[in-house]
Amino acid sequence: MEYLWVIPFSPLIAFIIIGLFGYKLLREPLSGVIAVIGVAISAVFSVYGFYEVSKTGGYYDLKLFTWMPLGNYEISVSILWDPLSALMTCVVTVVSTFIFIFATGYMKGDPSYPRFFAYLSLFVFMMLMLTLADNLVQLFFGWEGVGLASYLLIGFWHYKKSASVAALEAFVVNRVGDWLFLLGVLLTFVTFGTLDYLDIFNKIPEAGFWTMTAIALLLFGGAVGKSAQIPLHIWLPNAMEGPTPVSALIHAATMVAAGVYMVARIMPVFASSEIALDTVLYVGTMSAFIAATMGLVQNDIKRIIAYSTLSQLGYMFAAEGLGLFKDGMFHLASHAVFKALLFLAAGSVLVALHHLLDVQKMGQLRKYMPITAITFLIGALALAGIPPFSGFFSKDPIIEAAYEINWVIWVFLWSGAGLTAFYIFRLYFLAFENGDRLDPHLKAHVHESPPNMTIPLIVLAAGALILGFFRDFFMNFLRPSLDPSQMKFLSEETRIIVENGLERSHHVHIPDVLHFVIHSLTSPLGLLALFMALGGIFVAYLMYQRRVIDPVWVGNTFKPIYLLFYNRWYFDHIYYAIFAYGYYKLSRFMWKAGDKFVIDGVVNGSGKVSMSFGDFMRLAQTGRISAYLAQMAVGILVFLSLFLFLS
Amino acid sequence: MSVEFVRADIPWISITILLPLIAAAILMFLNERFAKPVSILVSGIVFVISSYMLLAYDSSSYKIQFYEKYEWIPWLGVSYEVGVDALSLTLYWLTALSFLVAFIWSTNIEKRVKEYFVAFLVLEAGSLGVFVAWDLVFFYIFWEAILIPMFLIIGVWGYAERIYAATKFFIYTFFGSLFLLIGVIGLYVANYFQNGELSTSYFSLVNTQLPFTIEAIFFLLLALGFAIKVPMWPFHTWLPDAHVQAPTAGSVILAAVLLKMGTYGFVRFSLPWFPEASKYFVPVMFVLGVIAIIYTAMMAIAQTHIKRLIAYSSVSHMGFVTIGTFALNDFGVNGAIITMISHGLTSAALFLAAGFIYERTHTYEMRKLGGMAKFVPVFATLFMISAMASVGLPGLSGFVGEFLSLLGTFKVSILTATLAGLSLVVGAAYTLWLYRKTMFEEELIDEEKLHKWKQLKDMSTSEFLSFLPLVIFMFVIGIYPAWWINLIQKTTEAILFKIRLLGG
Repeated sequence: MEYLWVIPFSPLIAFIIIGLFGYKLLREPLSGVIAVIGVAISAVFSVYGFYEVSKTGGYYDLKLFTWMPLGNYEISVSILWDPLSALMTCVVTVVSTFIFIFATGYMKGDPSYPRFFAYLSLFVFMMLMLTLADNLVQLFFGWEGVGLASYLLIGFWHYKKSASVAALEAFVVNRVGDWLFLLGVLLTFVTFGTLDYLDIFNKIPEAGFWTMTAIALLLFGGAVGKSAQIPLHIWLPNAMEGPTPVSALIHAATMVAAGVYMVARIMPVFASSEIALDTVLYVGTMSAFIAATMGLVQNDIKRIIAYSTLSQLGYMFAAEGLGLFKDGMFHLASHAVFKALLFLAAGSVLVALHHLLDVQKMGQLRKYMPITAITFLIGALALAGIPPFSGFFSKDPIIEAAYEINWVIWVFLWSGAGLTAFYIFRLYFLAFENGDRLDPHLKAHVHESPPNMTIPLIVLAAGALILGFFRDFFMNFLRPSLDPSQMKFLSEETRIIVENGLERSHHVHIPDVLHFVIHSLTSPLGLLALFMALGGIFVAYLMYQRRVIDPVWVGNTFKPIYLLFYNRWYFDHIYYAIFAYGYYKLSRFMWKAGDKFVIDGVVNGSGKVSMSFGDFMRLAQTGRISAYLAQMAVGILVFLSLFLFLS
Repeated sequence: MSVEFVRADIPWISITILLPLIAAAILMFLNERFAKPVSILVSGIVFVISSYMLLAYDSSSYKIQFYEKYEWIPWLGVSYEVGVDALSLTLYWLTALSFLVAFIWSTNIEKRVKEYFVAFLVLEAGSLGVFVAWDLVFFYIFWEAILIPMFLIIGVWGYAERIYAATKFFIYTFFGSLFLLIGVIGLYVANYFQNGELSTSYFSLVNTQLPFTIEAIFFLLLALGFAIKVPMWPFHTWLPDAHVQAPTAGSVILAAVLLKMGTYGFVRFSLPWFPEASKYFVPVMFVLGVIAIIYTAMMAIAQTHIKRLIAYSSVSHMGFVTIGTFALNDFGVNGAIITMISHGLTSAALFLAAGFIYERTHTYEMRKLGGMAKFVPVFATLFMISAMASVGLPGLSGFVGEFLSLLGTFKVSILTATLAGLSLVVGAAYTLWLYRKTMFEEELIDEEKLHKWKQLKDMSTSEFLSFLPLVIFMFVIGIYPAWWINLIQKTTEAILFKIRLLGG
């Protein structure tokens, strides 16, 4: 399996080539072509690797070189290839390939075209370093690296103040999570003396419950930042300042899912602490619900989808918190496809409408952009969880399983599904159907996008349509990585701990697609979930298509709730007041009071004092040698007596 | 432990110290147009020699290598004694690199060109000497000798308030040095009483066994001298003033080389000489280190002057060196040494960036800047890489040192590591703030400036050539830190030898 090293380094080479020659030689469209080739090569290799590993279910640990020796342990740059990393890598490379192709159309004519593709390739390289790591430090390398790529791409149009502010915010907020993550890494190393996943797993029985809890929670802190979960979620909606392919790739399909992947990657660590699993569950559920409420009332097309991403990531975490790691990962894969699709379709709309973002000013776009509209609709149905689209197969089992553990959690996840269906169809009806609100000047130019943009849409839509049918395949495929009874590398003791930890909920075991559908359509929980989704769509239809219910009236009637949602639960306001404005003002104050007044006051003051003291001491400078000798003798005596007395 | 010495076949170290001095003397009599080429040539040779030494250094066991010793004043036990272990060598190499960079950068000096380069050459000789001298008399001479050229560089070639800044720098550090001197003399006397040997050699003084109280007093005396140089909070206020007034090349040397002398002093002298006191004062050092990291990061974001911001960021980074050193374990000390090198690279690069901006816009005020990235793309890229290295992005040099320092600290005090780790957040905040306010947000600048920015020239060849090695080595250390860690590992063990013996 040596060929695996090609997977991360092919985009890196593309990055270096574009970075060095992008502006001088390649320009447009050659830079884009090289980036596409770079990522397509890694997609081909990773799909082949996926195929190979699906036959054996084994894992391969390829150590490339020693990065940093830490006493007896060595951090290496490595490639760990097992079903879990293979799935994640395939999601990243395959989705990236189509988004790259889309981007060659989307970024057409941008003066910074080469820079864009250089950054995108850098991102894929870093993301693959993250997914392929066999130890926590390499993971952290990729983790921070994608943070950098995200920063550069959010701020891609850095002439805009909003973009450069959002970029900085994203980096700094992520760094809060990274701070906790790094502490988790340090605690792991101090506890186990190693940072390789597999060694950590087998040493879990040596550590106490509270140590494991602390490690898991600290590492989860990183996931909260990277995957934009509450309370560190505020950067993601603002990250929509970046070009739309970036939103699709980084801020929906791959990077933000890194937190979910990380938790699954070190599943035994989380499984060994009930508190950790509960925390993951609660944070995920809270994010799933609250973010969905925020998405209800936004008017910016990209922000609506961004809040949906927050919310769906919450579902993934909730699945992991329930102990359903395979379901969480399957939802990650299915979400990557349909959310990339939704964003790209939105991007297609933006190109047609010259970057008009307000959905209230759109309408009837389906007439002009049929492919975009239909593919968007497929994505929306998948997101809402309507059979037979992929979201139905990936999201519903999570909601259903929650009922077993805690009905409160179930209520939130279940009603969140209704909100999800509502907001995405609100968007669909406002943008693609309903009345004619388009500015006439815009309307004259609206057109369907070129093939290099529509083909990725069609491919992804096909993915959203069929992926669900492979649910069983994926579930079985992931077993050797996530099912303790089949994780061969676990020691007996660890396996028992992990199995006990995952006991909390019973996997809804369904042998095939047909039974899955029958189960959903006959069991009360399955029906409830389905009705909730349909209900959400129906309400959206009444409000925004038929206009039977006036949205303005609803908003006015429930004014406080509307304002709470519209202002995103005031998170941004409070954070800004404390951590941005407050921190800056406090710093200014401390600089003036602390450094300028107190410290420099003492320093300069003592300078002045010693000047006058010097005038006084000048009296001792008589110029007579005998006086100097006498002074020296006194000095030596003082010194020696000090030494002798104290010894 | 007994130390092995490997004598140098060719006195490389003496050559590198004398060469700049000879060049300085010759330059006095030459036309000023020779000043720059000769300086670059000399510092280039020094850099090549130091790189050769870095590669030829045998890191498999602890030996003082390239060692030279000549008696000077036998009845006082003073001799000229130079040599390197990995700690000395890496900083010696960093010094050579920084001076080469500074000389290549120094193009538009308008007044007293000859004297400018002479001052820098003298400064180079002294700085190299500090890191390789094992005789304390020579160490102290080098230590003090650098104050004079640096004083002149700030005072003559600096900006408007240069006299105030230069005086503050001089008096403050000189004041600290006196305590250092007293401490060293005390140890010299104590060593004589105890071992009957009059010697100013490091290897003789290290054998002194002191009662704890005396050891603590000596530790504090030296620590005061070093702490001012580092500078550690609350002795840091001379640094922002000095940086703001210093010319670009002066700031580069000040940040990359002079600050390292303080931290070098802690690692080289405080730890092996006063092991018990070092251990005793760990809590104090941790507190000061954490305050330096957090408090000065807050100072940094409060600034609108580019150089003042970077100066504060230096203090913050040196906090990592402090806590790493006083973690008193392999990880921490390795981390401290690598942070020193990395900070040398990144702070030099950031000060060059400040100089680049000033030379084109004639202001250091962030409020008057912004939106330059589009017009100077090569510079913007290198500046971004340096900024990222400075905030400790893995893959670049900053991360390695910070990670090891934090790891070492974490083993001793979880609270300290947790607080120090906050620099991940606050450090990113001020560094990206600096970048944003200078490079981004083109839409906020007025027409007149936009017009001016369009005429901006991207990096000249000499600017590019001085920036490039810094960036290359940020990558070299960041991508393959294993080489550097293996280089210094044995030295770190030797430094911690006596502390290990104390146990606990």
